[in-house]
Amino acid sequence: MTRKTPSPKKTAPVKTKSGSDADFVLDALSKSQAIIEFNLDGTVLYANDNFCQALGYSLDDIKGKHHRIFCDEKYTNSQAYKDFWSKLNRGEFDAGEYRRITKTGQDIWIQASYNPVFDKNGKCFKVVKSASDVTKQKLQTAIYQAKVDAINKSQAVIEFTPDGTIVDANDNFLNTLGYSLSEVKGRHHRMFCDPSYTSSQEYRQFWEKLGRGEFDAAQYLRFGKGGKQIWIQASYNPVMNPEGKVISVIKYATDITKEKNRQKEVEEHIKVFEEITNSLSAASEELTASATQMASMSRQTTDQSGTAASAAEQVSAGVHVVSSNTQQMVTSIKEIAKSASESAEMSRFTSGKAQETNTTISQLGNSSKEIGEVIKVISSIAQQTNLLALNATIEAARAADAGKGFAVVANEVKELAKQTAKATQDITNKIGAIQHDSELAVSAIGGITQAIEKLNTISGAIAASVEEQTATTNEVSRVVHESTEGVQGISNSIRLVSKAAEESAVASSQTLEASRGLTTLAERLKNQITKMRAS
Amino acid sequence: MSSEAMTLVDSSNSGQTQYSTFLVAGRLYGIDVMSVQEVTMPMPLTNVPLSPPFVKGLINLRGQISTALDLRELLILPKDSPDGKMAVVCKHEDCLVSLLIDQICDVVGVSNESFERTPDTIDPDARRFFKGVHKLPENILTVIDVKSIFHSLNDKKGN
Repeated sequence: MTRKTPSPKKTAPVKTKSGSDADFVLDALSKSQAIIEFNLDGTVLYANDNFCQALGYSLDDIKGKHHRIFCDEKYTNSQAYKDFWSKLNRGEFDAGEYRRITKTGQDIWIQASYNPVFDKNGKCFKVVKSASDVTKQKLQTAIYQAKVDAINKSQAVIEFTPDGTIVDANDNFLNTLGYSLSEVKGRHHRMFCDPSYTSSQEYRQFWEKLGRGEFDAAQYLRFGKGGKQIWIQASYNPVMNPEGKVISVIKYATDITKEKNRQKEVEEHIKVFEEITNSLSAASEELTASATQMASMSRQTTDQSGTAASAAEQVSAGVHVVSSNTQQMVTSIKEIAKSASESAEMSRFTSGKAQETNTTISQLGNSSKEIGEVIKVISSIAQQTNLLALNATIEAARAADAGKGFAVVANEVKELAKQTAKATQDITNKIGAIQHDSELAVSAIGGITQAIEKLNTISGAIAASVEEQTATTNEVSRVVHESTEGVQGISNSIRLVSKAAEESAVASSQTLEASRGLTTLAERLKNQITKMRAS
Repeated sequence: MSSEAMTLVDSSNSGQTQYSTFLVAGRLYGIDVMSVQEVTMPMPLTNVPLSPPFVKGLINLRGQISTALDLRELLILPKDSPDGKMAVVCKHEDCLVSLLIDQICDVVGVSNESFERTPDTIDPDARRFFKGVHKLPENILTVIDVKSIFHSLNDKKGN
């Protein structure tokens, strides 16, 4: 920070060798310091070994020579150099770091004090210069300075007292926050902060921490003139004195508002990106689940359709059996119909026959009645013959012996008549039996006729039923035929479904793979985002 | 008359009499064939007004008139319709009667040994027309006295 720190050491004027005490001091100094003595005109009176070694001369080389041999020609020709010696001649000391040139022409930096030496009368008679080689330090300092300058050029720098009061700020800082130095100097750091933050425990702790000498570096939000929001990347560096006491806090800061804004934008982008990625992840997970489900469903479909296909095959086989059975049934029904119609025909025929038989038997009855009539005549004739024979017998009996032969004949005739009567009686009985039987036969045939009529009705009903049955069976047959086609259609459809399900299974497994890939990608994307965030 | 008849029987078949037998109300009756002219089929009856109940009418028998008598009335048997009945025609002293019967039977020869008098227990009104009875192996043959019928007829006429 400080461009030049005046050396606190060895500013005391060197006394002459006359004083014993002074001589000891001088000796002591001479051991560590390069010491050279000049006349007031600048010629070298004396130089110790340290000096000679430092500048690569021997004492003889430089004794009686002018001080300008150690200096850059440009400088020795300048007014400043004249003024320098004039100042010393006036008895004023000069101390500082000086650039000098060695015997070999190399630059050397010395920390030196030019001390005019006064006599007893207070008149200046020579100049003693004590010096130490600070080339290394100087170079180091120059490097430091360069670094500091570089920092100052690029960074905003501000210096605080340990309690936070602003001591100094560079242009970068002031430009960044839009203040002039006079506006900030002597004010507290809190002017750059949000009041809610400055009143917090955290803010207090922040300064306490710095006060303890602890370093703090982060990105901070600060407010410039007019409340402008500024993001800075800053480090608060407590500066400690050799005793370890914090004497100052230097803050280096870089305006990262743009970056911050960009970062914010990027973060927003990332956020959006993350949301999208999350959505993508969720979607791909859903897709995975869906694909899994789809795969399992298509597997199930495949299984089910397999089962259905085999069931349909069974149904088809069953329908075939039904079809052939129905056809057999149709054939059977046709036979039944034929038989029923034959039966009807037969019963009609039988009915006709029965009626004919009835007529015949009625005729038989009539004939037997007629026979009865004839038999009655015969019976009557037999009776009359018997009577005649009886009368002949009576006549013969009255004729006594003369009628004996006649009586025998009459008896014979009477016997014949009796036999005739008996035979006719038998015939009459038989005819009665025939008539009774034929009546029974007629009534039986009537029953038969009725039964046949019933049978006829029944076979008519059977025929009608069979016709209906035929129609129904034909309908069944037709339906079964259609069913066969339908079942075949179902079977084909199921096969198609099965094929489609298999394709679907393949597709879903591909989908699954793809969605797994997607999930992995989403995961990677997430990781990438996390990494991006972290960085 | 009776002696003559008996003689006839005796002469024709030693110890035997021939009877024309018939059934009336289920009972077997017989008349000596010598008293019988013939047996006829049922004939149309012509009513005779104011005649006794047993006279059922007149029959035209091949131009000869015969009086139809109801044996059920005479023999006091359960009454029956007189129409459609066969008749046993008997002749006595050129007078013909037709006895209406239920059914004609054979001319049978019966041993006189089986002949008995009519039992007294029979109603006298009926008994007067009976000669007697023959015990046949399975039946009782009641012999009708034709003469007594003629007599009673004449009596009635006379009355």
